[in-house]
Amino acid sequence: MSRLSPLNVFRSFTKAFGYVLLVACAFLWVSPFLWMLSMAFKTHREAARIPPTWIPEEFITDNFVQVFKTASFPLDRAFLNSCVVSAIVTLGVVLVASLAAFAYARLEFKGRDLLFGIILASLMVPGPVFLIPQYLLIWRLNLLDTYSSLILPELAGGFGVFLLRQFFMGIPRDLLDAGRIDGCSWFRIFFSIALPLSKPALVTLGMFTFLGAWNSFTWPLVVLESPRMMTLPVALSYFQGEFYSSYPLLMAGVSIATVPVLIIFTIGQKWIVEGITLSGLKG
Amino acid sequence: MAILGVPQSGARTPSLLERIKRFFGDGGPLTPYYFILPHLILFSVFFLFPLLHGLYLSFLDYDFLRGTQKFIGLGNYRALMTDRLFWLSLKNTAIFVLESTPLLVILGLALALITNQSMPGKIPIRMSFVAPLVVSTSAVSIIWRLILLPDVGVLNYILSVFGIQGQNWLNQSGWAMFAIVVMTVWWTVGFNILLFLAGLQEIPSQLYEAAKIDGANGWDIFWRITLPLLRPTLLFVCIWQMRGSFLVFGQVFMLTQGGPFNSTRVLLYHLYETAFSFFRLGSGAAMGWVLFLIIMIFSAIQMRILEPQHLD
Repeated sequence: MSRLSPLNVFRSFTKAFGYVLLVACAFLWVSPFLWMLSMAFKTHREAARIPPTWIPEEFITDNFVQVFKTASFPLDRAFLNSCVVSAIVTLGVVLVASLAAFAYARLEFKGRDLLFGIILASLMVPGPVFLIPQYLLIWRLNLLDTYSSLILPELAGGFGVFLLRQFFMGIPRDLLDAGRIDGCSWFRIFFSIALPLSKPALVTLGMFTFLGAWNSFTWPLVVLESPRMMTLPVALSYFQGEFYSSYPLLMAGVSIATVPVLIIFTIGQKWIVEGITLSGLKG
Repeated sequence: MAILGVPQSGARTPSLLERIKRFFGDGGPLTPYYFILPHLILFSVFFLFPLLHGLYLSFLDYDFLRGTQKFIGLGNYRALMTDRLFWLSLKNTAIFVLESTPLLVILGLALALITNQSMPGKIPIRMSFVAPLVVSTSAVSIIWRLILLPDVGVLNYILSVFGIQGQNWLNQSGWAMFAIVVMTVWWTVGFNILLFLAGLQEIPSQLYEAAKIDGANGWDIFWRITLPLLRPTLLFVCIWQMRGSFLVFGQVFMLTQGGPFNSTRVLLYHLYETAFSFFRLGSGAAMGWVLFLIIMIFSAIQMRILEPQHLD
């Protein structure tokens, strides 16, 4: 029980003030998204008005229809491309990385430490170092402007292996040995013991990978050429040129690209913080 | 793990077929390689090979458009030393790194500490700051361009309400980089918040309770408990953030194309233009390696400063 002394009143007052300030900041932080949505439902005339209207006076949904119709490249196709590529990349990374990570964490073989050391070191190498040689490789393989050009290099990354290895190393040895004594094969142990135990880490990796793939910009910009192969981020960059001053259409297009990830993020947010903690990612 | 390759029965000598089966089969000495093989192949083809090939490329005068290549040793690197635009882009990158890194680290830490306390609506508040992180550069940039527009932009309108003269933010040398920094802070601070939050979860709560019993105030607790115990996280965030800032590209590509007057031409933008607008791949590859070297040097410096006792 706190007594009603002037000091306590002052304290709770500053506390309340701080809280209100924090909520205001949080609101300010998401306000660009709210502004995007507000613009997406306005008429062109209303969008250009000064002073601006915060909530559309004339609420129209036509922008979302127009944006698909008038863009010179198919935005619905870009949406589909993004979905397909991100989904395959996510599943692929989780599968390929978890298989490798399991071996690096729990099996013994010649060259293990050296190979893992190379993978670990690879994490420090920034993307631009590969940008050009990877482009040449994709060109040589005749894969420019294909889904494969977007998917294959993503599966090669070392991050997932690193993250899942950390996690697999934490699985109690007894659990895996028990399976071994029961005569299970290593693949069986991997699929029916190790993987189910690692759900949080797999979901974390999956979310990071999905968001990374969905938002990937520089690489698709370089390897994609035809409008029907564009993923959303690249399509949006062309979109900006095309609808330079059609703000409502622009914002409708951007909303289509951003709202799905924001929803996934809201649903999966608990996995993100938990997963980072579990996997010891932060250093 | 000695169980690998244990014979099933030692009674009789196994036939050749059985021995082959045992060697190649599950549990045999090759099993671990089956696990790593898919990743190892992809890693070698799409990572290791391009890495080495890129180093080789940086020694070539490679004109992709004409298809000519000539070995010129360190020629590309030497040419960079006298490339005015390269130095300018290096300077602009340095400005971006120096402005964005401290802001992103300190703001990230502050917001993580604040949203780690118990309060009503903690999760929605926390997630408001993280949400922009999940949106692509191009989407973020388009939203911000609209906000920053000189005549119909909402920022200038709000400023005018307070009697402040608005600016043509993205088209003035003095403001464009600053606008990109602010946008980047808004966009990516969430990542640092998440990392710091994860680090905070690992500080035992008993330490805080003990400190409170001893009568320590919040300021003491922060400097004597939280910050020292958060040091590994802090090191990781600093290194990763600085690296990320060195690699700024999408925002510049979308918002200013390096302008106005090259005031936002950053290294990666210069590299992109050199390689994919002028098709000088050798020079671009060399720039990539210079950038890598710079990042490594600064990471090492940060390690020295933040982790003087144990480098593990």
